[in-house]
Amino acid sequence: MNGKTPKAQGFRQSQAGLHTWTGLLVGWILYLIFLSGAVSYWREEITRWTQPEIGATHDVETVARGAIAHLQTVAPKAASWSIALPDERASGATATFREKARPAPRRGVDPNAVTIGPDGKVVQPRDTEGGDVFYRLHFDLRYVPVIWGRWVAGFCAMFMLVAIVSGVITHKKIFADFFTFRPGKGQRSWLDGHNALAVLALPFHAMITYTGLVTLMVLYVPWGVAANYPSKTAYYAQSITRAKPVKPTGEAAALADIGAVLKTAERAWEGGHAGLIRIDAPNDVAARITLTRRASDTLVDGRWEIVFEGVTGQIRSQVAPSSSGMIARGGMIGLHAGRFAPMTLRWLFFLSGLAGTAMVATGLVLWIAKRRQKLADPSRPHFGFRLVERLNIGAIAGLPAAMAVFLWANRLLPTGMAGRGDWEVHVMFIAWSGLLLHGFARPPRRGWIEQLALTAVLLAGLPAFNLVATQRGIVSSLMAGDMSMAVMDLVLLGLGAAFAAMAFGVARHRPAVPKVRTPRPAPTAPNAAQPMAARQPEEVEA
Amino acid sequence: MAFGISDVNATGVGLQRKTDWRGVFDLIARIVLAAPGGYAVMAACTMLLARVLPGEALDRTLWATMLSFAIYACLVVWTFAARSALRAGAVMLAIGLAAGLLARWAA
Repeated sequence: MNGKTPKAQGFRQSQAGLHTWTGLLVGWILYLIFLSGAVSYWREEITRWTQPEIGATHDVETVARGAIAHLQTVAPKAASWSIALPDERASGATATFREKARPAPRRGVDPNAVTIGPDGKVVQPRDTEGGDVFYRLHFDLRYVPVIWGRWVAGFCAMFMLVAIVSGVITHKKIFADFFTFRPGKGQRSWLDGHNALAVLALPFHAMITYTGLVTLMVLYVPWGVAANYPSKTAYYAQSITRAKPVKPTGEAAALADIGAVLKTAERAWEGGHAGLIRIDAPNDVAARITLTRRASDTLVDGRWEIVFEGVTGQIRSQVAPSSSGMIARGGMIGLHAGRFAPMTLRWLFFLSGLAGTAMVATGLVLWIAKRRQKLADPSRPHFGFRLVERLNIGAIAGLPAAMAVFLWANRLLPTGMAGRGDWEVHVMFIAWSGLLLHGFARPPRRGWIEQLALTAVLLAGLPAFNLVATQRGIVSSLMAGDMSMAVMDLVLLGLGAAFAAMAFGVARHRPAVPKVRTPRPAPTAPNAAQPMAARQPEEVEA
Repeated sequence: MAFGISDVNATGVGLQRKTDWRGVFDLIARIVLAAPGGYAVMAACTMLLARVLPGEALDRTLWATMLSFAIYACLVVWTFAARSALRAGAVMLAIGLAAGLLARWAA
């Protein structure tokens, strides 16, 4: 096989090489994207957990009335008000206003924004990014300009798509592979695990990778737009129709009752709910109320809007995604973000995401396991081998530990601290950097055990800390019927147990004596006594 | 496998480490063809589709852009499967030119 030029390679072999090298190149970033993406299915729950000052929302109308009452006192003459309402999984509305009719800055802290609690009163939760930190990390990365982060994520997603296609071609016995698991056999077991995880959730992986690319498709592939529009602005003008700004007349008039407006919208959307209320020129005759539909209402992500006359509460106009292209794209984005997903499906998405995370992790470990047997001198592996081996530790075990550190920072940093929300994130990345270095500093096996054990302790410690040191421990959450908080604590405990099991597994594991492929003069190793025929099939494919 | 350093070595006798320069060149050529080359050909195909698919301009644009990733993936996979880098390059160039010219004609 050595002397042959690439020309003689079969299609399947060419794809195996493509799969291995594309997979390794982007593996660590893909692992980060998969893990942060999987936990982002609990974005609202994580945000709730990180802001225990806000209780569960029971009645959205109370919150909306409270928000309007607040805005009425602080900014009765503002150009516009907006209120982001919680859905059934979230809690706390955000109410803000704009003095002048110009677009708000897209990012950064809004000094006018306040949080309205479930009782309709202003609450002061701790400064945190909550679940948004993992959601943003998933496609923007961190500490790099957002556009770079998105290009890197898109690059990795494209690699992933190629890895899926080439992976499917590589495994012609794809369904047989799924039912094959030979534990305790080193490289073989990692390969079987990698295959099983990949095939188990293959429809999910294919869907999530493709729809992920579609979420930012015009950034990655602006050529379709370039073919039909003179500029991106012209395209956006057609794809995102914005209402014209409202000119106040100066004549005062009372706003329509928000409860009645919400009910009208619910009827118009056949049971749908408002997620966002915008009121232009409040307290003016020309006032206008725009309701945007809750993202969790529909599969199709897009602009569902009803515009009301602000004073009478009559419907003026409605928009919904209507053209085939908008519906198809909205459907794909909706499928990716899973905002529509009810609890059972949400769990399935989350577990599939974890299967994807584990698939990437086993693939990275497999790269090492496969090459370990071929090392010329196992006591002194070459640089590339050592680099991948050590990076695997800090990436695979270190990242979940760092994510747990974020939750610890959320509980432990003083509430009055300047830049507290940012520091929660800095602490997470400082911890991760430390763990990446730790992976290089310790012998590999010790490194794995220590980092997995650390992750277990950090995760399982969180619900314990909540129970002992806060008002929102699992017992009080259960008593209050706040299932979201209670389940989050239980899941952290369960994940802690899973990492503890992995740490024990690595600690107990006795690595198989490496198979020596050169003929040996005498049977010295214990496994050399096995009949050769039994070991033969394992060595055929590599 | 189309990758310079010999990775598959079933016999293991005297693990061959002699670099196959033709293989390395072939690999680099394929990477260049697949990544930037495939992107350029995909861009031309997307422009063509955005102009010739049925429907309104917005729908044509969106559908063509949604399909572009499938086109790109096929081009990359095919580049590594082609018999030689030269052949891959020739076919890619032909597809790209044809799509580009047709897209221009369809404008």
